[in-house]
Amino acid sequence: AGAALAFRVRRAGAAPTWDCGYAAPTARMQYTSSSFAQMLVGMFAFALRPEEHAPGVAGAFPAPAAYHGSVPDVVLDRIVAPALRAAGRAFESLRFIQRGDVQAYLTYILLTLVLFLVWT
Amino acid sequence: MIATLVHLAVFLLLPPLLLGVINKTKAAFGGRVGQPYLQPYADLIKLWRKGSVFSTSTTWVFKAGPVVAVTTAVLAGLLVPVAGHAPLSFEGDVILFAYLFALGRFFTIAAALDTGSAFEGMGAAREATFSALAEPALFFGLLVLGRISRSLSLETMLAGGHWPPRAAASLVLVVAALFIVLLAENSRIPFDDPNTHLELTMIHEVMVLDHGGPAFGAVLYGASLKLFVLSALLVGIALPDLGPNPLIAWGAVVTALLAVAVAIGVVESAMARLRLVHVPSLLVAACLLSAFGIVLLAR
Repeated sequence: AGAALAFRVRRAGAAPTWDCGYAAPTARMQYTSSSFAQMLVGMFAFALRPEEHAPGVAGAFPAPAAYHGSVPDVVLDRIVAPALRAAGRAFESLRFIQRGDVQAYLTYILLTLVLFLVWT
Repeated sequence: MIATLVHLAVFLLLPPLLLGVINKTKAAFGGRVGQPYLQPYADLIKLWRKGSVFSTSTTWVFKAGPVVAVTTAVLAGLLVPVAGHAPLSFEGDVILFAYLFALGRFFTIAAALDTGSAFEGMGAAREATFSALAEPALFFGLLVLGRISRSLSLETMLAGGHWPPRAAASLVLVVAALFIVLLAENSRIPFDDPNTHLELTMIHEVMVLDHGGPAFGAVLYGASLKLFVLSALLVGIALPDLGPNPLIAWGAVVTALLAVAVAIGVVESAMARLRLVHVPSLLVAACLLSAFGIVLLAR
């Protein structure tokens, strides 16, 4: 009987989330995932290198301004992709080997065979 | 068997008394009489008898938050050896121990974000950041213990205080680092003010702002269980071999736990909460203390 009293099912009420009395919140005031990560991103900014565009306000009657921030993937966007692009540009200079006619390729095979014969 | 039952009884019933001791210590520093020692029990009973109001923007995640917090704290408590014996232990349980806390924290953060309020979101972001910085300190400390005892089981690591003398310096550093981690994980000053729900001190207290009634009671109880578990870990490192007599062993452990609670009360009374930008410095300092503990062991 004591257990039944202690664990009885009670009806739960429903109410809006407490907003500290602010009457008209909009979607622009919400707490997004960027807000959630902002503290950690700021702390590790030396490694993550976020990009921010904050033109700021100037003068007594400033124009409308917008803020934009993003955190590009450090390894992929800043290391791997530029390295692969540079490698691609370096290997462009060797394009002339691919001439498209069979005689050139047969010449390459002949040269390679001669090279191996001389070498070993 | 008897040891397991005693462990469960102490583990499930003692933690709110630790909160009472902390509050009494703070009151003594302030020249007040303060709450009774058993006030947290009365608070839990009062909350259990209340009704609940749930926000219209929440889902099952919100209801699951306190449940998972209490469950993970109970499971972690089963893994920690108190007075030399843990009810549940296997090789590698130290990793489960650390990640049970992470699971509880994940669900608390998810429940906080589930409400859609910016207050809870801010508290969740701060909790995630500070826990990310505190976890290496915990792991380095556990690494020191594992290196000394050459095992990954908590029961073997804290088995009866047989520490070799060469490890004394490392253990002192680990105890200091784990005390800082204990203050961080349980949202005590200097990381968070457990008494207020203000914007200035919003970390843990604000994540549970929308819970009420039995759910809030579960949150408070889970927090006290977590305090007990981390204090038991600290006490297990600090106490020497207690001997085979279970009465003496348990008496010493309970006294040491109450002493840790008094120490937390002293720290809470002696200093104010750190500025938010300085909190990472203190957590990194705890990481460095434990890391030096490993360095001192490397021979």
